[in-house]
Amino acid sequence: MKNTKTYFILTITVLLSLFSCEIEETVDPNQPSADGVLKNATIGQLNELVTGILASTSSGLGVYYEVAGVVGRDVYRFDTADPRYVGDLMGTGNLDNSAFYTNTSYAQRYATIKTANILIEACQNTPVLTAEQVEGYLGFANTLKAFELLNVLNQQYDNGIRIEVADPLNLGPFTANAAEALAQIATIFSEAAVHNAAAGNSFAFDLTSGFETEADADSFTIPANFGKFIKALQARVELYRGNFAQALTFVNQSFIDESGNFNLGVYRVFANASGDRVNPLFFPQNTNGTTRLAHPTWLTDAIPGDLRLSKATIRNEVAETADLVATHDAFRYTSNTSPIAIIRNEELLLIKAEALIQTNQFADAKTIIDLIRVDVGGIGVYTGPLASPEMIDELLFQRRYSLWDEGHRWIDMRRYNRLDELTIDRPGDSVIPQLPRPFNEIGVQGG
Amino acid sequence: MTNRFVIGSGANFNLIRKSNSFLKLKLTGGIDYYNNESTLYFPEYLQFTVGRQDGLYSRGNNVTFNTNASAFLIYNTSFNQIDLTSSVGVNRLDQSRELLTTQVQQLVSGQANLQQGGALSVFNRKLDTQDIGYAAQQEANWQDKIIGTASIRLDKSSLNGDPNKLFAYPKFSLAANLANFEFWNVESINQLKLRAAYGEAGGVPNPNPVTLAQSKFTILGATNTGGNTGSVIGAIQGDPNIQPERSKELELGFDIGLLNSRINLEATYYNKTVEDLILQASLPPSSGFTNLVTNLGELKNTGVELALNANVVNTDKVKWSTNLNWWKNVSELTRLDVPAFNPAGGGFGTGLGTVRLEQGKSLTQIVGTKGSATVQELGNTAPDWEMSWNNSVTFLKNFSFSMLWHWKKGGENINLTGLLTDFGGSSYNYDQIISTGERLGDARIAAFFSGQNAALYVENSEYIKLREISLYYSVPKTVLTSMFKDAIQRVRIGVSGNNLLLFSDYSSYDPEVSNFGSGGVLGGVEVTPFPNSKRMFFHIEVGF
Repeated sequence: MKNTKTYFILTITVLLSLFSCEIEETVDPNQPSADGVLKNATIGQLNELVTGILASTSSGLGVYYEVAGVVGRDVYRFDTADPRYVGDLMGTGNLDNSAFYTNTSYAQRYATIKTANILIEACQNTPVLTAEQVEGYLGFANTLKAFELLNVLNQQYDNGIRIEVADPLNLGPFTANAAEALAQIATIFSEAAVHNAAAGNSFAFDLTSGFETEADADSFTIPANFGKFIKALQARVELYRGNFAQALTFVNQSFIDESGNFNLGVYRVFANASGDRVNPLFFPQNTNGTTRLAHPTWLTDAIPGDLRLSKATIRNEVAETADLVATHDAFRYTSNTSPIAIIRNEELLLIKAEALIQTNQFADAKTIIDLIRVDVGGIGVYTGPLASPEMIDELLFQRRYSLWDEGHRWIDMRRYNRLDELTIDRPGDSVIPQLPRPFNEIGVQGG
Repeated sequence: MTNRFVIGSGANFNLIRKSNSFLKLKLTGGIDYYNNESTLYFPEYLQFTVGRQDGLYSRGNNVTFNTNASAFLIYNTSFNQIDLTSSVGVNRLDQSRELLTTQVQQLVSGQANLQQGGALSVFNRKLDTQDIGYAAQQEANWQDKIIGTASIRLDKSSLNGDPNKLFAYPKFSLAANLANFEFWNVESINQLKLRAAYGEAGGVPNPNPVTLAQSKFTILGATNTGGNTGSVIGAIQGDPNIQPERSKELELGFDIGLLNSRINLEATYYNKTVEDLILQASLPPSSGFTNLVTNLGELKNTGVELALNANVVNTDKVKWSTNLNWWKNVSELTRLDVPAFNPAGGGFGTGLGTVRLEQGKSLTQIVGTKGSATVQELGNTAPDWEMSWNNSVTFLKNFSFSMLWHWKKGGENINLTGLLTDFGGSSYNYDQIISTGERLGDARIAAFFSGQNAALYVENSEYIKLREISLYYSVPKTVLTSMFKDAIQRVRIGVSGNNLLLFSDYSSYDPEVSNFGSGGVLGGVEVTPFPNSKRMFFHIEVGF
């Protein structure tokens, strides 16, 4: 009988100890999780998101610039493994809504936007920040989000894009067209500017060397100068919207420098370090097979002696594929760690010139155009009439050479309805106005 | 090198023991430690590494440590000739895994050492899981005439979104052995059992087998730029509320034994529903993710299984037993919460034919372009039914012969080998002249480019195969004894073969192969795979 009692006690102890087991809430043992930073994030976690957003902005850029460059007839892109650079993108037939050129940059830009949305939520849900620091994070995150939305729009254009994407299972609608999307992007930029203006004297986070300038005081790493960077992007958006007076206001508030310093600006940086990425647009000169080449008309249409032509270098042997022949390499980026501009002073000067022309301030516009022609191009001053269609032609010509291989030509010709002026290289080619909406945005029905 | 220690122990405590009842406590516990070390060395002079990795050396150490513990109280008693067994208990399973591989490339000549190379990379993943289950079961057996069981399990797991939420899974079964009743007087039928069972079971969201990523987490990936370390959103959206899949199965059947069980027939009908099916679906890329893993659908499988065993000949000289199985399964995706999508491993898109998960359709439907480029259903990788026939014959005392046939009726494959050989001009019937005067291969290629596309290469994959055949001779015991005394107990020699005969109209080598493995939706896509090999074996078996 005594034994039985002992056994009962033993049994109950064992059963109770097992029954009362609670499983602990676990965190991912392999990497940080999105849910983990949304509440009570540390400054370290928030700053990792800041770096992540910047890294993400530099990812998937190759395809973005190849599309803009090939369609805009800045460059040829030859690829021994993929004929679509010299096929689909040069308008030989139908575009594929599930091809790499439709999806790669699109998905990457929205991944940046997702990370920015996480930062926007996380920085407002943690007790460790001052009010000014929160505004700093919000200003940064909204700026980069709006910039990436603009990059999506540059390729989707009148298909429209989704602006509200914070809830993956309840995504917002597509804008009806490009104009509506630009208006909403402009709103996000102005919100970013308001947040940034309230961010105090310094940020709680570090930015990359792409935000630093030769003169420390000018670096875009403090709210006062970051605000000028936002204004620069706002000026670009208003220019695209055709709001030239507003564009002029913004560009004058930006970091525009009319004394020169054409490369002053904000850049996406590259490095050979593990986990980092290299500049995808760099190819060594005279590479055969897969390489990037200057479009022949960019060389033949130029004013002889234009110093900007040095961005393309003559090859030892001509490159030839699919009835396309090129004599010069695209050498805008001279190493695999050359940074790619988000926006720089040379573009701001041209934005200002364009806004001045469009508001009939032709003499002031000529001053800036001459600055570009003489100081950057080493060609003489503008001698044409101080009047509208002529000066717009001149402006687009200067943009073509100053901003060559920086993804502008296609967008510029499209906003002036001049896509039909771009070169048709071969019978059957055409200029595509925009990329198709990606397959997975539509769902496979009908796909 | 693999080290493994498995220790298991159990203890039974008889708490009460009477003439017609007992109560006992059953404790079991176990530890399983598994350590797998790997070394991989490709010297720098190997042709395939020259100019690429320039040599590769890697060391891996994977450790798995599992423990389990359970405690059950079991009570048995008899009441009015009914044997009753009750049990209640709990079990707990803890699993811990860590995968670690370190690799260097660009080796210093002749060196196999992690310090003698460059481009060091490390792969490190961990997984810790806990599963706890509570169970109670009641069995009742009335003289082997009627047997009933009812049970319930309550399970929770750290792999679920809410690790402490209990999920209940009941089970019931009832069987009646009619031939055991006194009223049964049909001599020739010695067994007639009617069976009915209903059971529910859970399937926890399993982690990715390679990355050990758990579906409940949305990860932030590591990246860096400008010398700072950063976090970016991962490609797959996790679901913090993910639940286990729940399968509900109703099974009805009967077993008949004739002529003293010389002939047995088993028949089963089942209807199995899987609710809260966990799928990886595509998300619109504007979400920032490419995929989502969560409970997204419901699957229904219904089927019939028939088995007939018979000892056809049973004499001293010849024994022949035969075993005939026939089965059929029909699946339907009854619910899908996302738009239809093409699962990974289901093909190469609608232009070439792909499996597509779509509400209201079979799980294994093949869709593709046909005619005016509209995507439509072109076939199904699942067969209409299957049948196997196994025979074994012993004769002349010491010879035994067996063969296994398999018949797959219906079902289609996406035969991209056909497409590739047409493009290469090497299809077996490429040069056949058809009524239009064209060559058949040219006509197919023209049709492919005019929009017939996938439909041309979705092909019936019915076959009959001789899977196994064997003939053995056992040396008689008397011969062995006279020759070797008792040193050798048994000698058997023989020949056997696999996949020796195939009867099929399928145009490629083997209708049974697949590019993406088999199981689930992965079968039925072929791209010049290596066919199942025909194999012949010669056997000598000696038992000492």
